[in-house]
Amino acid sequence: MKDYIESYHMFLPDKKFRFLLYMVYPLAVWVLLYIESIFLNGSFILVFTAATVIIAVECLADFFVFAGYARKESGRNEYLKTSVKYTQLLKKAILSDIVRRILSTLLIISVTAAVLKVQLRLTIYLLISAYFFITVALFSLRFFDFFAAYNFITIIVVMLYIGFNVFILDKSILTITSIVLIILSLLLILLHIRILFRVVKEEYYD
Amino acid sequence: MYKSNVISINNLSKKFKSFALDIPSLDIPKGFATALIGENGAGKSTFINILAGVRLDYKGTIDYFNGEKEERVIRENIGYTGPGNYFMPHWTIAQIAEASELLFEKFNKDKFYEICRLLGIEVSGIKKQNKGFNKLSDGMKMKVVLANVFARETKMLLLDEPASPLDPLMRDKLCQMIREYLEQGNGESSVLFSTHNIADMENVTDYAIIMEKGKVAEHGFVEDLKEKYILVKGENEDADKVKDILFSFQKSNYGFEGMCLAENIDKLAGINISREVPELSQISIAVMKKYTQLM
Amino acid sequence: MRIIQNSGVPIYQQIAGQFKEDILAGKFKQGEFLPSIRGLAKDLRISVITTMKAYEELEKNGLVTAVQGKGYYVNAQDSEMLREQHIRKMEEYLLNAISAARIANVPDSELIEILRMLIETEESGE
Repeated sequence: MKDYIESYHMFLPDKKFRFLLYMVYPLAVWVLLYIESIFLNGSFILVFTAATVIIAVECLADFFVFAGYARKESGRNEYLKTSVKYTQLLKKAILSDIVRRILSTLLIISVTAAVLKVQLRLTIYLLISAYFFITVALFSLRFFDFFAAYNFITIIVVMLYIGFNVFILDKSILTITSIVLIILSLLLILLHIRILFRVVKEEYYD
Repeated sequence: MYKSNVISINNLSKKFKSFALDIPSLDIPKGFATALIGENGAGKSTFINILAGVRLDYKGTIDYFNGEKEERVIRENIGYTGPGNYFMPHWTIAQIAEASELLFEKFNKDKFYEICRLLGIEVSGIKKQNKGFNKLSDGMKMKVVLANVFARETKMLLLDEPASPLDPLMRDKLCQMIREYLEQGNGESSVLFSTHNIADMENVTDYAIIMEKGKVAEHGFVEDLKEKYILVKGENEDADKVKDILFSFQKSNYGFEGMCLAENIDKLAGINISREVPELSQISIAVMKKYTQLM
Repeated sequence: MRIIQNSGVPIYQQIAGQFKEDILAGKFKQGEFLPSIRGLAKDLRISVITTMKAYEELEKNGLVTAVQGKGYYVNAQDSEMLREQHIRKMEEYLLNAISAARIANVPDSELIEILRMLIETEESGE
């Protein structure tokens, strides 16, 4: 457990970033939702807003962590490459990142949903679909290591999320959609990890 | 008695578009400091990257530590430093220490901070200092990199151009750190460093490998090379007589100067010349020039 | 130990020479180990191979013996060898005297006479 966190922190920029990611970000979302709830008490739009913010934050924050990791770049991380533990640590970091994302999303939404009394079933669906769109975003984002690409893709994905759910929400297929999205997310994550580790391996070969 | 090797290379080759690294056979002696000398682009970095396991796309075999097969043992015992994107760009000194503890079994954090202090890196400010590695000056970067590698317990150091970004005082300190490392290893620890300016490192060089265009042009113990080559000087009137005998030859208005192989020195009998034991840098230059002509 | 970088005398010879003097002067006892090769290199700020060559020179002269993995210890300096060393030294000085005599145009017979005289004064002095 400890080594998973330590490995993850190797890839995070600094203590300030950790503070922002672990503390400021959830608090900010809560404050935002609290203010919004004054006008829209109990509406699913609260969770919807939260999910959009989460997608945006998760995508943009990743720029400072794993930007460019899905693309081969031989001169990178020479020091890490000399260690026999490099791949293992990277694997731990990537998994920690996934777990951290799920936990912080759950934390933000569950507190929101509980306090603001939003319908549970809808909340869970919105969460799952948000997670799917984050996964899609990260899958494509990590091929780029410049911020403009991150910005652009993030905007696209947020728009896709909103559009997709505007289309889905008025139909009564939330359960089946949730299941499909979970499966797709899992497959995408697996593929993503495979690509990352193929790239790490290839970086030893020019 | 010093015929034990830390690394043995066989038929090593790596092709690029513009040049090829090609080393049929080469041994790096155990317990000594070996200098890899050559111009920029001679293939020194590629060679060191291959030895350090940062680059695995080569043909041939490399034997480490007398037949050690386990990759974990080899990598744990080799300390590599490079001039490129060595650490992650955002890492602070404190993060470097934390990461190194994860990456290597025998990294000593206290020793790292101690060496940092010796090299004049502000350590008391570490907790406050949030400057990332990529924001440090080149000289400072190299100091941190060196402090880090010397803070590990290793059997072999592979240092790619360690002296280049350092000022003269720091180069002197680096030489002494290498000597201390060799002393503590008591004949079991070895160092290989590359340099394109051998004069700064001459006093710490035991074995020299001179590279030119991806090939090893000359190699040997420095004391042996200093016996193999003799620096001769003479008057211009004798220049034509000696020109073909000498290994390297250079003429000026005041006379000629050149390197003569010791085996050929008798052929210069009867010619008025002065003889000197050459510096390693003089041998290197002569060898590099000769090799360039041959190509 | 003093080392002169650009004296023309190779550094290993300077080191070997000074150890030789110290050993013959009895500063190192029989069986005593010389400083470790790499320790000496560190202290003198020179390369390992140079100190190693100096020690090998001493070994060649029979002054020390190498023990694998332990270093070099000082041999018993038996009287025969010491005598030889001193005879060699004496010859060297006499050769110097001869060449000085040649330069000053002192005939050989006078040179020998001076030597005899010097020996007599030395003996009476004791």
